[in-house]
Amino acid sequence: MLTLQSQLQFYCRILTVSQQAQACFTHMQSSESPNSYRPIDQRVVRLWHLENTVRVGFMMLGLLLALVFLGHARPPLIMAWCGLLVVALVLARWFADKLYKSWRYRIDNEVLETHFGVIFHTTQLVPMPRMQHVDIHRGPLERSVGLATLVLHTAGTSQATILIPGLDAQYAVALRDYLVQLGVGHD
Amino acid sequence: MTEPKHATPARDAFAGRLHPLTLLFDVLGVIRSFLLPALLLLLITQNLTMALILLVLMMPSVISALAKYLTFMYEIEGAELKISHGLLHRRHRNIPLERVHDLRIEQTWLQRFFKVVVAYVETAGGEGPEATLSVLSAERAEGLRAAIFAHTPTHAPASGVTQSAEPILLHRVSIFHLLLSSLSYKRMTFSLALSLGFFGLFGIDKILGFASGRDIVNWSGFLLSHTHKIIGESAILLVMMVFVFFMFLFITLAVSMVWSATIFHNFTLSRLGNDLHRAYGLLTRRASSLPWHRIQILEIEEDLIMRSMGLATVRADTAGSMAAAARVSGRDVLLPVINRSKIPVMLSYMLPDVGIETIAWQQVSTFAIRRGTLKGAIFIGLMTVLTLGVIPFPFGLAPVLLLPFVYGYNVVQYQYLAYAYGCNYFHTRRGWLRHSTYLIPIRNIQAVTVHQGLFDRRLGLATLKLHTAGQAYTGSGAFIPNIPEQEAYALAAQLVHHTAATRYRW
Repeated sequence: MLTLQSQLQFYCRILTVSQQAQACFTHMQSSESPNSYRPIDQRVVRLWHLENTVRVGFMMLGLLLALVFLGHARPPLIMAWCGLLVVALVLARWFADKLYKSWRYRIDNEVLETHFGVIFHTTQLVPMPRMQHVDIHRGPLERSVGLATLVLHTAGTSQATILIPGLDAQYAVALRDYLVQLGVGHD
Repeated sequence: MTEPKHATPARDAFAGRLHPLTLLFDVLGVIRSFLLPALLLLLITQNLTMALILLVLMMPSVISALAKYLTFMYEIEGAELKISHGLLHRRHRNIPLERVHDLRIEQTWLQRFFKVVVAYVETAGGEGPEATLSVLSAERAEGLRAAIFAHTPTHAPASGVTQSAEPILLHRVSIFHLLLSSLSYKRMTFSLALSLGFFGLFGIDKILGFASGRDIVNWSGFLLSHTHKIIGESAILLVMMVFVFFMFLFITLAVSMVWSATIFHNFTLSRLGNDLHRAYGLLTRRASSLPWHRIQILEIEEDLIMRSMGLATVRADTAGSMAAAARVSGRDVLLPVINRSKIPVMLSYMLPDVGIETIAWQQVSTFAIRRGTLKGAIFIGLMTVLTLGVIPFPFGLAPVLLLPFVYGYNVVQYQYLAYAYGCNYFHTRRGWLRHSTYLIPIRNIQAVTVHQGLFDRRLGLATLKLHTAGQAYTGSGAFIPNIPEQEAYALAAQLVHHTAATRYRW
């Protein structure tokens, strides 16, 4: 069985993987043992900042509209709303940073493992022979920063589906093909 | 009456059409779905023209039923069950026979009279039956079942299991045990929901039948006026509350008993090769088979009442388990009620190498008690603050009195909470009033999760969760909380590597 690094390099050559992915593979080969955890792409932090800001913005806008329509839009409440907006934006940013730092994954020939969580820590482990199929999801925001989410399905319930967000798009394709080949090898 | 055979079937092929009575049952189904709106329209408008319009609206459904009967064909060819139907929009479905988990057969009382059945082809897909053959003659359905499973290699008997032509009866549930099982917490809850739904739909006075609403009010007034002379007003309120409580309890119990006796009437579990056959039902007779190796997870459930009588319920999930309508039809249970002492023998037919009597249970961390009590104490603290806002000191502190009970509850929970890692199975058990024991074949594990909340991290604990296919009937049961953190991670790693070394069979 070929190692993960050599497999991914093979796919890199075929797919002309981006600079970031190349750098990632080189880093993996040079400094990490095959079983060490790997972080997700740092660009995902920008994406999560943006997503969280939009989410907070919508919630706070809803609150402001409620205050206006209920006739409570007085200066002290508007000031409190502004304070809350600042706190929520800071918290959203902090949460995205912490979530990025918590995210890591590793793959060996038998198991895919992910670890993430800020308040609740979750570790998911999937035996590779149980993999049913692998999807790649790319929303508009993810596409705008060149990222993708890898979704690994098993025959289990929805909780037994593994998501790895924040992967370089081309790296995600290479990783998907590698995982599929690994899964086929176990059949 | 028999179904006309499909023209020139292929060699070794099992082919045919639906039974001619399909038309009758489909038209009856259409009439049934239009009956209530028609009656309502007649009552409201008192105009026969509206009923005639409804009759015209029924026609497309009747024509669709006719088209279904004329075009529906099924055939076993090679290793596939081929089904085709449709007049304008022709549909073809090929189901690989090795993917067929079960040919479930259901028969209402009317279908029993005509000796026809509805056959559901079940696969691992959890979106309902893969195909429905409604209706076939009973013999034809049994022939189809035999033809499907004759092509399925996994239905061949395991080594050491002797194959016989006739099923061997493993267990028959007596009516006495069925009535006792109706006292179980789950059945009572389900029956309570049914009773309340029934009352809500038709009104309590119509259900009781013996008296109108006005009679009940008059009777209650008479009772109240006479009781009032003997005891005070607050006591009357208490008596009324107790009366209403016991009335609901009695009605719920009655519904539960009738439901259990009707759904699981003459329940038999038998074995044919590797297949477990279930047959049950008074009005609608149901029959289904389950190859033991397709059991993804098995649960032995004993609530307080059942446990006190030495009884238990056995549930099992396959990859195609689907929660919707399963409880109403009783499909969620493998054995509705069985003596606890007979379970080891019965399990030897379901999970042959499980050895439930020799399981070495491993208890979780004693920090489980502290964690549970801490969470309970925080909740009680919040309750107390809220109560003090309404009720003045010192009576507002009443929720604090619950603290010893919270501690006691967590001690009892801890005592039963345990897991065991066997050669081929992972076992968990938990519960306080209701004890649940879960048996999970390691080869069926799809993923393992370790979860840690704030309290867990503070106390160095973690929750281990095992994911399998199905889990619709056994709930999200395969988890064990309060394991020491390091132990949970080590167990998870060991389990996934163990699973990776085994082969999953659907």
